[in-house]
Amino acid sequence: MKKYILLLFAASFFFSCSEDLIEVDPTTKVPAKDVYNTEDAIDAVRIGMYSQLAYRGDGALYTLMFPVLGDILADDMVYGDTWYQVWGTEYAYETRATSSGPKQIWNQSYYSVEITNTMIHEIDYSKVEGFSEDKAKQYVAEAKAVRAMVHVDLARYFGKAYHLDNGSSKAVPYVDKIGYSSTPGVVDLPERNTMKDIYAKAITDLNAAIPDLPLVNAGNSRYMNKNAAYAILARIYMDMHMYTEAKAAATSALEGVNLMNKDTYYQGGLSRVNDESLLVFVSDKDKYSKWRTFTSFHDNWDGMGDDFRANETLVALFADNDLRKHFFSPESDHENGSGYEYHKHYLKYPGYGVTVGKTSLGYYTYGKFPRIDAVIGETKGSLGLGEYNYIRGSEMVLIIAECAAREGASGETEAKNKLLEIQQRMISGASLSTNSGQNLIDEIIVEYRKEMFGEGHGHRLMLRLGNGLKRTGGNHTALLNLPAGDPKFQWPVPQSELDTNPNLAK
Amino acid sequence: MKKSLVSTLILMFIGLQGLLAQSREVSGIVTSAEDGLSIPGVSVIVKGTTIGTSTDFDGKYSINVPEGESILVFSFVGMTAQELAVKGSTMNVVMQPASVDVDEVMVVAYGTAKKESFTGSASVVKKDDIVKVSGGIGKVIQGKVAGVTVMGGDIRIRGFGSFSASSSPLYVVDGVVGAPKPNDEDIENFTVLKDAASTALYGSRGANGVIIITSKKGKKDKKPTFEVKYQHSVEKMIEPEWELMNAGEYYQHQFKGMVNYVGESRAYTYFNYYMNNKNPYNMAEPFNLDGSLKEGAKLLYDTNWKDEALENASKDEIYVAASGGSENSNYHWSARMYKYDGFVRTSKSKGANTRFNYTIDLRDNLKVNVNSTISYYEGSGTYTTKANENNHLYLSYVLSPAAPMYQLNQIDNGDGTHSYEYVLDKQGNRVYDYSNPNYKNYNPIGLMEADFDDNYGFSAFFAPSITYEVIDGLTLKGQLSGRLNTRRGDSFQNPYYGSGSTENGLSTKETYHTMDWTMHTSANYKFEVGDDHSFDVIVGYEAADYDYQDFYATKNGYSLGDISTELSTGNSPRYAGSSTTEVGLISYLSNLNYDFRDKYYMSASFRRDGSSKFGEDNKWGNFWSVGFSWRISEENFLSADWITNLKLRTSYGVLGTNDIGNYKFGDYYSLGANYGGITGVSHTNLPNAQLGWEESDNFSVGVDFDLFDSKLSGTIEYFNKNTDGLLYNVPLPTTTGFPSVLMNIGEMQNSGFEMELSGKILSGEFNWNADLTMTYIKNEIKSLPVDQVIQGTKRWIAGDSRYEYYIREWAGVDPEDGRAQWYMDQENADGTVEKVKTKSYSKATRYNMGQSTPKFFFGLNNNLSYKGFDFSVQTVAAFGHKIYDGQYQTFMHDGSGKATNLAKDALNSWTPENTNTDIPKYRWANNTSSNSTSSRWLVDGDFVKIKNITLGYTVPERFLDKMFLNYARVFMTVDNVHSFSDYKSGDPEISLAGVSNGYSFNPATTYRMGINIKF
Repeated sequence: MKKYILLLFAASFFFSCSEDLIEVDPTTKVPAKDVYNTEDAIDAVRIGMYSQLAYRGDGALYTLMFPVLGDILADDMVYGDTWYQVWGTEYAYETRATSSGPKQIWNQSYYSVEITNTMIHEIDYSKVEGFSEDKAKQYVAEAKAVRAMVHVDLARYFGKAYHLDNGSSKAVPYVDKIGYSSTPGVVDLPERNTMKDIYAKAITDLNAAIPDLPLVNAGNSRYMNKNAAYAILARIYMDMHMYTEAKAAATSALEGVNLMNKDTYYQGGLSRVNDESLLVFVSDKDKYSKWRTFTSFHDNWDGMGDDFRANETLVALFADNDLRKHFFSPESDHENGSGYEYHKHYLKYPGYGVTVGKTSLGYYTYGKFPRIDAVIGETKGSLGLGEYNYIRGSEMVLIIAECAAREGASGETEAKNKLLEIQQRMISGASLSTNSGQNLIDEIIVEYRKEMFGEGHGHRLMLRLGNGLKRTGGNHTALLNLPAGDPKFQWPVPQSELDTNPNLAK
Repeated sequence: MKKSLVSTLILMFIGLQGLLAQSREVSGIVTSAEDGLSIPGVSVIVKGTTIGTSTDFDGKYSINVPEGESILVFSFVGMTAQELAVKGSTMNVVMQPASVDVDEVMVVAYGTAKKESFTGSASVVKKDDIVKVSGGIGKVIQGKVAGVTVMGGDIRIRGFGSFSASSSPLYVVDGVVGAPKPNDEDIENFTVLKDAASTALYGSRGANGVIIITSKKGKKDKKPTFEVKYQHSVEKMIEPEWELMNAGEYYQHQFKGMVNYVGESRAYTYFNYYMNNKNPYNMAEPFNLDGSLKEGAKLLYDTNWKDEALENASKDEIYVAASGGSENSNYHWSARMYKYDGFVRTSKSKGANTRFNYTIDLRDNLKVNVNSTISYYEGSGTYTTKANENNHLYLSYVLSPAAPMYQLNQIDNGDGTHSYEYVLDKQGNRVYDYSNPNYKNYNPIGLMEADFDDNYGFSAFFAPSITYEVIDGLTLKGQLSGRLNTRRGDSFQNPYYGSGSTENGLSTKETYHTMDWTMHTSANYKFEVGDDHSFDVIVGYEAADYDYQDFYATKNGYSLGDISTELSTGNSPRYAGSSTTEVGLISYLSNLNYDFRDKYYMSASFRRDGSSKFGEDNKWGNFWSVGFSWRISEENFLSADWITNLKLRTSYGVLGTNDIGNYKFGDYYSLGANYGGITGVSHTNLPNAQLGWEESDNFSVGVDFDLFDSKLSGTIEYFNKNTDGLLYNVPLPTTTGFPSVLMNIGEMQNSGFEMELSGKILSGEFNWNADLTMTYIKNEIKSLPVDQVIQGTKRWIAGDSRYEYYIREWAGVDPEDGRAQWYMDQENADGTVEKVKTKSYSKATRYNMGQSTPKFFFGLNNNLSYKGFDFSVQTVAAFGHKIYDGQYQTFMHDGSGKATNLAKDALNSWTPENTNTDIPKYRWANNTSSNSTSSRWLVDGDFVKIKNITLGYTVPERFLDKMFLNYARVFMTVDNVHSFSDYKSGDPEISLAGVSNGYSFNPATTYRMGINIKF
């Protein structure tokens, strides 16, 4: 008996004595060492980069923050004072180091940059079975172009407009290596780069990337592509007032691209990939909650979309024969289900010339970006999904027009033709402009505002034109008049970042 | 049984002598105060004689007391002996358990120890205290055990061990780490182990102290006894001292804020728009442009969302138990059921558990024990833990009181005024209005009825063990324990209103289950060498494994409403996911206790733990301790009568903490970073292969004393705990791509004094015992690898407490313009720094503003009894800390919170007419940060709190006999009776971080009454 009992104890010891118990791997994570070893895993890293750009946690960098802040900070759009308004401080130009706006956009940008740097650093086709050199080059090129795009977009909020001081102001660090060493806690603490450095590095990255990137029209508009990279270059050169280079880049950006037609445009093409999409960010259904999509900020329905209104001064720019005027709400009531009403309205296509209604506060709701998950006949059950056209062909056409107009008399014909290309799509009976000189440039810029409103271009346009912020009229609650170069245009480095990197105080 | 029979015979023989003299007969019954049951075998002796007897099987005795003798002595093992004067011929005696007994055996790590020989620092809390106070171990410990900090739900033993790893103590129930905690009534006692000598055997999990709970067991050779306890309690929320505005105050205040924002000419247009045209007055524009009320303006309704949403909570509990035993076995079975109606109207829960403990001696040297628990609970309607608009509790605090609860029709009175009537549905019922200005489409009261969030849980625990005495002194023990825990969540949001409307109805089903098991094998050998040397050695091995799995899925598109909320009904998938986690631990342990002449004691322990939570290089950790004690009272030079026990002890040891979450050390990419429907991964974990245990060096020295015949007993102790390699998610500059990395950083010290005093102030018919505890704790960060870490309202820097506030200092309101001001350090040209005021929040300097954890804790328990009545008062106090009143802050905003409701105090905000105020100007969409984090919301945290008052009455036996009962007690108790402090937002006993939440349930004052019977 005693023997058996002792045996039992001994057996229990050996039965449970296994070190396997403390060697466990997670099931929802992949060890980093396995990630750059297979083609499928590298594909997933690349997709992860776009996922990060579109959405991470509560920050949707390219499906909400950049597109929305780009208009909140300008004057054609009025940011509503609904009490849950998240960027009211930024709208009022009261941004402080402790505000949430700079912190969110800074953090999300650098999380994205880290992925690009890791990809550039880690992808090595020679080590991966079946992974072609071309594909490796393409992925690295995408990472470089994304790195350039994010840095330049971020820098505009923290630095001074480039042309004001030839880029000598300090903006943000251009991080182009893996930002931490293999010893935890020992990190490279970067300093702020000047706008000049940032733009130079971005141009270098983009030029390095372009040869290896595919064209957009091969189904690549949801990923970084050659046309988009050229378009980003064009934007950079516009900021730098280097119009020749900008025009060349914009021209290259349009290679193989046709503008979308009137029907597509009118029927909600701007919430989808369309013919002229150069770079689009997707809002995936399982990643979003309502309030946090680009479309939900613009399209009024079911208590959402209270955030943005078009200023009456913008609406006044549209002529009655402009089909784009139809985007503005025909009813001042923008309550439940009106997004769907818009949608129906576009489909009806009633012809030109409508009575434009105002909200009770004077500004206008609009249906330029209808949610794409609305069910016809239902006023409920939509998450406000839609894709965001970060860059589209029309912008490039207008850049070419503007650059040509800035060439002086020699470029005016080209400028007018390009302008007409945009105007004739939506304006019945549009004809070649009769303006010239500054008037022509002004007309192109007005066309740009009308064409691109709500798409996140306002801030960039305002900075590069150097006209300052003019919220002197219309429907703005916070009336403001800031001359170009006012320190309020430069956001302070977020406090949380200063707390961890004293170099940024320099 | 055998023993009591023999002693009865002997005593009867001796007693024969007494019969010869003149005597009178005294008889009665002896019962135990513990359980009210009769005690057989109690020795009853006439003092000063050899005359004696003992009680029979039913606890009855009868004795002849000779003429001239008048005192009877009642004694029994484990009970306090009583000398009682003879009064009359019937004397029923209630024996009290011996409260301070030097031979007391207490449960310690992996075994038991005699209190006298124990080298470590531990406090035992007995069942009396547990049952009386009732309501969780935290409540009982507070004020009972020195060195323990209980703040809000946080229990900390000897300081605040860690930065980001858990600092909670380890719970061990009947030898099993993490086993389900028994009901209060099922707890025999628990031991709080505080120093290294007592906790080192728990190695990597012992650094924060250990609470060992021993559950009740049946007694051998005892007829079954039954216990029933019923109690009903009502919980009343402790309301803040400030009130929220009513509709009139709110509406007027918001209007003034709007005038300040958009100016007079646009004020009404914007105001009506942002109030969503919800006007509680009888005229369209009830205010003049200066904000004053127009003549004839009358408030027509006032919505108190909070009152509508919340009510007093109540709970009914019933407990039944049976215990007893035969010659070679014993058992204890219990069951408890409860039903709880929560504060939020629709929140309800109920549950039940049953425990069974059975021990059988298969042979003289072979014992088998089985411990098992099964429990079930279900809860419903509690949308109180979600974010913002999905949190009904939050909504009931912030919504505009000027928005109506029900839909109203406006009726024009024809004189420029209007009135309202309710909109009624076809059944004649009022219809909820969902159009408040704050969260359009949300009405918490309506949503409480239309949405649900239910959950169900089931848990089964089973722990068999076997003990085998191989040879005399050598015992083998094997224990296996396993637990299965499942939970199911079932929630639905309706397709018409609230969050569900955009989804056209949303249904979520989730389930998780955990399975864990522990295997323990050990050998214990006790032996003596000569007369002077005793040894007690344990060696053992332990393995533990924890498995977690979950699965969840959500669909939307429920156009039929809640007719069916099954996933198959929804027309479109929304989310689905699953995850699994596994954690393993392997340990080798050993312990030696040595005792020289029952006077000098030494203990040493060593444990080696391997954990799956750490990387290759650091999987294994070694932990050890040594302890010494010396019973000075046993020395000849100190043999004073008034010293029952005097013991000096000291210990030192190294302990660890591994409670940091799983897979933190590795370099990982997370799944789920999908884009456009394609699988993606993203880099989320920054690797740290060096990540290792947090180690703490613990030193402790103390003295235990028991004086004046146990009238005064206690402990005084000094402790010093140095924790090195603190685990913390160090914030990184996000230019690295990561918000933080988990590292072993820095060193922290917790040191302090603690004192426990127990006094028997009065004994006899009127009994008065008092326990006093005092704790002083100093927390100091000794070193950090970086200059400082700023974490919310705190800054960690060498030399300060980890709970030191580091925030901007409020400098009041500028009477000129009503703007908020803070202090800032300004460097003058000569290099001196001057403290000046600034109106720029971001320029203001952050200063050290005191700590959030109290430096001193006091606890005072008074227990009084007279005849059948017992009365106790528990008082706790804490000093030397500050509370950050985040709740008040939320409701004192300056317009930055837009239309959310405010405290009435905010009415005193600055206006050109009211310049002498500390509340800044109210302006809609205010961006001046005036109610941002600053010392404006910091208040002195010192408090004295009457924690518990209990009054009980035990029914005398003469009534019980008629009812066939052995014991009956009725009781009333009140928890959280009252607090004295400067803190205005409810109970000052908040979490250690010291920041009260904007909207949460304050702890409640609980009124409880019940009855407890045994038969």
